[in-house]
Amino acid sequence: MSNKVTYTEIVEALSRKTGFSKSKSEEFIKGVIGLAKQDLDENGKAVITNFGSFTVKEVAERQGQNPQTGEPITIPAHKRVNFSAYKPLRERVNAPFAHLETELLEEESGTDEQESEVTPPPKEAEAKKEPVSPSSRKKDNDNSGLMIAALLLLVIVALASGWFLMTADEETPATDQAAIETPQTPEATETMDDVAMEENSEETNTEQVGQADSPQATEPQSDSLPENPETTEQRATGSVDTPETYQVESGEWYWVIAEKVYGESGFWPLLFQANETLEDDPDQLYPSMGLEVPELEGTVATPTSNDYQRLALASTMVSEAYQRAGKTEKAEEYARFAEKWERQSRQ
Amino acid sequence: MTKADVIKQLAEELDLTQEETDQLYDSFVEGMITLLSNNRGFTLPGLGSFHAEVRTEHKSYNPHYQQMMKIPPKKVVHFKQSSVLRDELNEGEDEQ
Repeated sequence: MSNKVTYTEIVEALSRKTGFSKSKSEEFIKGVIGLAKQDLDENGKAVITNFGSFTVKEVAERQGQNPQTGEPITIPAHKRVNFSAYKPLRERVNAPFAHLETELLEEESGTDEQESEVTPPPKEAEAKKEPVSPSSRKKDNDNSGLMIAALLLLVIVALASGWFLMTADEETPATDQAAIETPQTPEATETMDDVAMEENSEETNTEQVGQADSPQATEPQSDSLPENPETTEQRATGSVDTPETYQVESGEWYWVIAEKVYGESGFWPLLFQANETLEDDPDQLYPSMGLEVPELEGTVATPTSNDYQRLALASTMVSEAYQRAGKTEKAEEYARFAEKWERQSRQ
Repeated sequence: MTKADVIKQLAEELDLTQEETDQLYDSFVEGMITLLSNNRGFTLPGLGSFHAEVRTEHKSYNPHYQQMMKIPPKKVVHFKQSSVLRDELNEGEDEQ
């Protein structure tokens, strides 16, 4: 999927987008590149505003290996150019993964620390909790085993939900719960432990509740690649009107997506217009492409005349694109659509 | 060199108004960003090539928490300098 776009295609797209001639567009791009290079030469750094910056880095001499023969070689000190993308570019490129966050791995050294921090309070907590468990035990002894299980389950559920509420209120970013939550968490954990001790099977569950933040959050990460489109799509369909970007899934076409985001497949030329790529053929869409979804002025049911005008314009663009792709029939079809929208915009 | 400088100079060179140059500039940059966010790589001749690639999920040590962290996958822009630029920069010095 790392299909490259040629320089000529970029020039053509730029001239198409801006209406300047191809030669002007090319001169312009050359100019930008030229200035950047000049800057690099003179100052060791250059900026293409809103895109990224380049810096010249000195690389020290180091030992390397000839990858073919394995012979050690010395790579002399040299200069190289580093690129650092502007934040908006980084964010847009990373959009499919933007919802993922770094997670602490609990099993490692982390557990020791957490325990050491938690240990002081438990004594008080145990004192408080002890009355609870023996009393329940007494009752349990009289009753049947089923009752024991039922009671314990109730207590566990109550404690667990209380725990959830507390953690939710505090809005801890799942990283260092132990450090922040010391006043409340130890009590909760202790009670849970006390109760859970009696029923081993439950213990694992409740303990996981305590760390719920991390396991749950990590789940989507582990198989993020296939899941991504779905989650973004959910976000897309979730917001009532028009989301800003849409992640294309494989086998989807503009009209399918328009149906999803607008509820009206006939509006797809708007998507095409907003996301004009270098493809001539509007039938070509790549999965994992992020589509910008333009908002309507009116609603889908009652577009304003401006919306109709945009639709007309967009349909004309689609028609032209089909023409370029050699699909004359479709081109004519969308030319007719454009006329139709145009007429409606005047009503 | 700021965007304003670039536009001023290019407007002169290309015999366009600054507004027109500004429009060209914005479309150009916007186009490049769209390409990269749509997974399409490209080359700016003489400068280098750009493409977006996915950095896979990995584990790494976070010195602040003194713990191992799970770093989620991330899509990043990758730049490779063109050989022309490399050679120009290293002119007069030992190459390779």
